[in-house]
Amino acid sequence: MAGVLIGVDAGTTNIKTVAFSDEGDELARASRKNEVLTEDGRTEQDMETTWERTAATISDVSASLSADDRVVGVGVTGQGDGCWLVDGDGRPARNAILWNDSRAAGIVEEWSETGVSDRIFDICGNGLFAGASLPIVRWLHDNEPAALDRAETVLFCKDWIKYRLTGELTTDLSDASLPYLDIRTREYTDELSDLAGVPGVEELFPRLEPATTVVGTVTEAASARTGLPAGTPVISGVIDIVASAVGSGAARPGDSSSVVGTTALNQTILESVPDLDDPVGFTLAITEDRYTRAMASMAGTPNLDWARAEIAETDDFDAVEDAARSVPAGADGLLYHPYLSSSGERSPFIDSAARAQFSGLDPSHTRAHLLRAVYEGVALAMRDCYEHLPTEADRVVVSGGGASSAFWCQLFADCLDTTVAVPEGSELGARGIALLAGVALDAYPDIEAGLDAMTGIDRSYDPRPGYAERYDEWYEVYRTTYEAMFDAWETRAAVRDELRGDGR
Amino acid sequence: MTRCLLGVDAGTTTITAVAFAADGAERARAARDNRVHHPRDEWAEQDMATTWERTARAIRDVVTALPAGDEVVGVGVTGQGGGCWLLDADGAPVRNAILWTDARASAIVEAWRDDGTSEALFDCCGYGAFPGMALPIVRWLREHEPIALDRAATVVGCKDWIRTRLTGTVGSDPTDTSLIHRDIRGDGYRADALELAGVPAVGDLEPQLDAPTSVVGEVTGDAAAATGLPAGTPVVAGTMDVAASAYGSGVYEPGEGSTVVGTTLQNQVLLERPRIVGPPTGYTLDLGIDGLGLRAMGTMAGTPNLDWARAEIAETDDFDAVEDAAQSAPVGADGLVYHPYLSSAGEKAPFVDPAARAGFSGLDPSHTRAHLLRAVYEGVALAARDCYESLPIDPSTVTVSGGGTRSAFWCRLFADCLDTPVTVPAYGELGAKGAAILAAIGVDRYPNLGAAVEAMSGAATTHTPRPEPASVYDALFEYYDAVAASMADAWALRRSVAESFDAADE
Repeated sequence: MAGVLIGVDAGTTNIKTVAFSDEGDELARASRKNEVLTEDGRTEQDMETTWERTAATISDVSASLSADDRVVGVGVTGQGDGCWLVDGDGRPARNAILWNDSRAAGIVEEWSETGVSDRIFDICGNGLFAGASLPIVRWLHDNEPAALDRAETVLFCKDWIKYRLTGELTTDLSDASLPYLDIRTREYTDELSDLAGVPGVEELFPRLEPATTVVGTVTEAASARTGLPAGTPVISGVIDIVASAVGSGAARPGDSSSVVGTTALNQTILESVPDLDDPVGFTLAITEDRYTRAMASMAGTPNLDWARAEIAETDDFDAVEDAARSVPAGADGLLYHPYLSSSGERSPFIDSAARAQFSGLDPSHTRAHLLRAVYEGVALAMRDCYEHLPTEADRVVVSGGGASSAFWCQLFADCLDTTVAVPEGSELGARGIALLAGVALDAYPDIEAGLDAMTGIDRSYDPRPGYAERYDEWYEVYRTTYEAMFDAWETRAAVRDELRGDGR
Repeated sequence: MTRCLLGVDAGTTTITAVAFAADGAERARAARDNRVHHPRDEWAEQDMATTWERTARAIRDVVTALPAGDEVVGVGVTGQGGGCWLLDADGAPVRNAILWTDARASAIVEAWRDDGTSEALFDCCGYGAFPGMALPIVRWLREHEPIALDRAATVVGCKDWIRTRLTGTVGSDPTDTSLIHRDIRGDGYRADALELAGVPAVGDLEPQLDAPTSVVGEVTGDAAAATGLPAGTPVVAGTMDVAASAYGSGVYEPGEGSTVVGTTLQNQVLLERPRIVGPPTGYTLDLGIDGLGLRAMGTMAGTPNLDWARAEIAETDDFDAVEDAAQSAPVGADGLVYHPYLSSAGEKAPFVDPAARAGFSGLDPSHTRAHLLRAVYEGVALAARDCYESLPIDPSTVTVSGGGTRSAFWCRLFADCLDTPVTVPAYGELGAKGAAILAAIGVDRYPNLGAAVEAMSGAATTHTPRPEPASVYDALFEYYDAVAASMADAWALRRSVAESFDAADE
């Protein structure tokens, strides 16, 4: 008989549940799509549907465990930010508003101009954006007061799932950090009513429980729905970006990890709150002596998808990579800045008007140069994030879709001048949260022991001599070039607004 | 029997000779390739004897092809401007001609730019010095080939060399000498320019000045033997190709603009009189006719931008397919902008920056390959707009010519981006026609430039700017301009770093 740890990862579009042995072997997994309701820059989720689909994945996993597998505990992680409100009866006060919703953009803009955002950064260590919980609460205060009146508690996605499993309304330090905690005391701040202009916002805050605390046990009703034995312990958990750092093995102080997916998340785990000079990126408390400082850049794999489709016009990534490989490092002076997202860039600088560009083009450049420049540009954007993180890591653990390219991983190593390691396993969020459940339930004496037991490195890439020096210089060009663009980007945004205003 | 005017255009790579009737109709045409020698990568030279021989053969082909009874009654010559064509005291070449595309004097010009000489030269002569001009080249020769320079008696332009071989006379006209050190606002030469350039000796090389329409001599016996022209046929001094092409395309009134969409993108306006007006780049010609002047801004790269995008982005040889794709994207390419500074020598108009390079900016995920291609067409047109914004007159019309104008789509884009009616002449050999127009005036077939141009320049299509696209490009140009204005430091750093990579990769 083996102890089984269940990890649930409620992502924005995919919900996954994975059962692990306490040695980190994957025993069973199940997933369901989740639906995002999108309209005019607004993104919502039906909270009941999110629970139902999550329960279905847990039920699938429970069903595939063998009779003598004993579920020791459950950890839940999920998409961070957004606003998940429940009323006094524990029912959704309205649909959840998600992290990528833009309805509160005007509020954030105003707070940024009036200094509110800077003050909040000073308190919680996080740059605000439209999809953060507090600006959404303010938006509801202004636009849907009835819904806000109904609300008793503001949760995050994982907390909603935990509530449906246990009947307990709680959150953890990592989700609450953005932006409800005083990052230095790790307790709720009482300044937000005034700053945000939402009287009584503090009354919405749920009980704060550290990540590896058992907050409750699976209820009879939840047991019936999920197949988990009633009484199974459920921990407080963490936000998905922390869970994936843990699952990739990069959760010791000083460890760095990057997820190169639709966006590129770069983070470093710290023992204490770092100096927060630059009001950008995230600072999340995990435990009393573990924090993460993160730069969530928009510069991810969509850049390569775009170049493959529009420049190479092929579905064959191998051909794209072969072409890129045929060109020397630095692409003979052709530079790409990967700010392709239509919401601009948000780390390590915040500029919603930023856009991607090729520069330095001369007649000797070929299609292969364009493609190499795109790979290099994403790697240089990662470098740019680490330049703004307090780290001297000798290794960066890289996961996500981008990590499946050995060519790209080598470029990451060369551009960061640091060894790049690709972790074992694929469901890193679920693995990380299961690991924390194991720590909470004494399968491991501490997080370090859990990391030793459940995580590992699949392959590593060392920076190549010569390349690292070259990318050092090339990075200076990269940075000087984008820093020159801020005013022009502003002009571009104004021009576009002007043209849209004309009805075109 | 038709009395014909022969126009000769000695271009850098092609020499064209055309006989025209007095109404501008083409009677016969011939062309020969000319060869550019590159003794070193960045050098560009031409053997002057070969240039003459190939010109003579082209003329002979025309004379042979003329319908029976046609008779050439006057000859006009035009040719590539700039460069350095040195003749000795006998009117024979001193060495190979050094062409306008030659870059051996780059370091000299860069030093001039750094120490303020360039600006001072502009105030003196109305041109921004570039390496392919006579003064920096002579300065280079003084340092590297003093013996050749000692043998030189006269510095002329390409067309003048042909004239010398046709007539045995030596001289030049106000346009070609405007690019040396002529006082474009007076009658003589500027000795102070030579002091600035450190080549006072050029004062001894100044050619005699002849008006473009004046008959400077007659076809000699030797030249008649080489060309088939009747000995005694009058030859006018002619003018530099930029001016000749303007006349040939119908441009002769102050305020008219013309753009040549070729390897480079030449933009110019006619001035009531030559005057020196910044920014200190491009050049200003004293046209030597009716007191007119011409202010020009030539960018480094025109059609090569499209060639590059066709080859590397569209990966096709089919320009029609490229154009169809570009046309399928909306006006303004949804905010994607291309800056066409593709030359490896950077840009020289309307700003001078050897480190400038091309780029796409404003990219978002909605942009497709079609947007990229459209942005390239638009970027070249916006570069022309950028030049016109810096020229002293907002032109009433712009006449476009050159290879790029084979695309009606592109011509329309120019009209919209410039917000100015764009005229496209039906006839192609505009330089030769302009030279023939000057000959027609020289032999008194027409009383003046206006009459000759009206009679001979021929049919044209006009594209009127469309209000909506024009307002989109008005707005987009603000962004184009903002990017171009922001990049100087980044370009400089990029160039120095990229050069260190190049050195390591070799």
